[in-house]
Amino acid sequence: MVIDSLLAGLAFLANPWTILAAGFGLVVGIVVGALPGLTATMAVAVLSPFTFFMDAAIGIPFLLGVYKAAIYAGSIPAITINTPGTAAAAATALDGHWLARRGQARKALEMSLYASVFGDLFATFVLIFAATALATVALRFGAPEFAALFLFSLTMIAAVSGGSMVKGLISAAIGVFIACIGLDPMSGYNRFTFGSVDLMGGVSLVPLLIGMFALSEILIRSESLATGAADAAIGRERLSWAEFRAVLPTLVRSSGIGAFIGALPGLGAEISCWIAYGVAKRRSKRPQEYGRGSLEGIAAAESGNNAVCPAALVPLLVFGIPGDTVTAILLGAFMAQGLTPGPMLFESHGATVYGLFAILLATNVMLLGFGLLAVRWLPRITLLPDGLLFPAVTILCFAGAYSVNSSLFDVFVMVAGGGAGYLMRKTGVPVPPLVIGLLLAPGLENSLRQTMMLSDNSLSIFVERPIAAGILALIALVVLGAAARNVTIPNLFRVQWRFK
Amino acid sequence: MRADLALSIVVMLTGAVALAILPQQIAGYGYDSISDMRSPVVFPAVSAALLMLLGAVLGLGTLARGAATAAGGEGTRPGIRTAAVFVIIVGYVAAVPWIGLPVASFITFLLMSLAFGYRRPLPMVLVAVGTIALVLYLFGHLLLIVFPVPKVTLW
Repeated sequence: MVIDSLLAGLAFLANPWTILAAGFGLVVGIVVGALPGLTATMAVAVLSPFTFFMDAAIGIPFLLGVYKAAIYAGSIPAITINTPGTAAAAATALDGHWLARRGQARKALEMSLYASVFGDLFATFVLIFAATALATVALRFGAPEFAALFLFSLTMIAAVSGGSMVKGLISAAIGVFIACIGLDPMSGYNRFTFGSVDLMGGVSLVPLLIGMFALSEILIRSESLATGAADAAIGRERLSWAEFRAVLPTLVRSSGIGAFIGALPGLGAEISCWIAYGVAKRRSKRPQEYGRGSLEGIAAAESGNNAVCPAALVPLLVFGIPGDTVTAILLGAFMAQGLTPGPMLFESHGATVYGLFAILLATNVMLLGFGLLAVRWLPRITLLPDGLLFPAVTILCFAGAYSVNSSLFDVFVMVAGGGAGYLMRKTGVPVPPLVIGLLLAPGLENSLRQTMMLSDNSLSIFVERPIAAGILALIALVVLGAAARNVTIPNLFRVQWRFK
Repeated sequence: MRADLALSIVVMLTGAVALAILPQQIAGYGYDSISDMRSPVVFPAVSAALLMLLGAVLGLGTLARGAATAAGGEGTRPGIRTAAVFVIIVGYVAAVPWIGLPVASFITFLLMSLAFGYRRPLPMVLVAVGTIALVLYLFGHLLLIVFPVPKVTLW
């Protein structure tokens, strides 16, 4: 029956304006995603009012194209100039830029593109065939389950801590502390704002990321006049079929993680990329290559973040509940078109819904086409001499950080992040755990405090709820497994806190 | 070894200072509410305490290992060029509200190019103008981002 409905939905693709709108949306999304500081949310929010006056078969495909292309395109500057275009591409920068600096930018960009398309396609099929089942599981997630899931996500810090677990934990603790700055969302009290109005909204994530990744890279590269990637052979080396086949299990696993995270309201591509990356490293036969140009790492991060896009539509379409900010805006766009998401949507507008599914599949093919055109030319960016590339990146960083809130304070945050990121890299303190701490702390704190309100400050609620108890058991297994593998008695006496 | 010891001291101090100023910085809540996990004090206090603890572990671990191990950082030795690049970036951010984005960006581009050892004036100027035009068009014209209006102008 689903196949029949899907085939009927393919009729949507016969409308050339639908294809044109989706294609234009993809181009806009690629530009927005590739510009540091501009996010998919911002683009969809700015552009959705224009679609109110269009036909649903044109407006909705346009917005879906923007959404998925922006998430993918964040990886382009992450790989070429070590500046994540969106927060969801931060994990991609770890391995992607390492390859770009060694003249393998095209290979990294191709891996990122194929992984994004694979993850998106996987999650679209999940949306088509298992939306109701997945949404039912997602709806059983309350505050205790989310708190447990956030705690599980924190275990990914071990995977991105590099050589020293203690330094990784220090980095994560700094991230958690920075996340506490600003107005407390539950009580409304100021925390560590020092009377500053700018700090009341907290420390913006994107400017901090731009500083920590891009500016710190510029400072590191200024230490020597070696021209880095420009010395390397032109980045023409392409991804081979054997390399793609080798990462297929990682792609399937990471896409599954992304699809599951996407279906859960409140989480997003920023978090799923780290979970997918951490799990992939833990399961990898070559974990030592992660952070040093691992194709598996790029595949995990990119399929993990792009799988979120279609999956985020699961709670929206099935129950009318937006899972994140972008789907909340999409909800408005759907309603403006007379489509009210919820259980009745499949009954009342079944043909339109399956038409949208067909468009989601078609935009993947188009994204692959546009992406292949882009990856042919983009590696040349890395061939620019440092003396031209880094000043241009600095100006782009300023514009990107400023445009997040049209605030100079965010630019100061970026510069401070650049200085701090440089010092962290010089002292061997890994930056990714800080990003994970910063991303997870608000969600963890809110869900934990909500849980404590539900249980009147009793932790027993975690044992009483089966899903939460299951996730906590999984955390215990992961931690004990890591400890058993890495901490030996002599190591403990030598205070060697290394979890490789 | 010295870098790791310095790092452990900075981390411990950061945690200690955060814990010391916490009652003033979260008005209405003190340490008396810390046993209540619903309190807004818990997370900042726990993260600050973790910083102190982890700083101490790092310091003790470094002392136990002795001088044999390095900090494991990236790059080579920072020199005058790194300091100059950082000063140029800070100067850029400080100059934008005064002389505007286009002029500040152009000056920054040239100074930074020189700091990175680039000496060909024509590509330098062309790429600088191209980058600034692209940024102004994409962010200012297409996305309607209003950049700071300069306080000092020639006209």
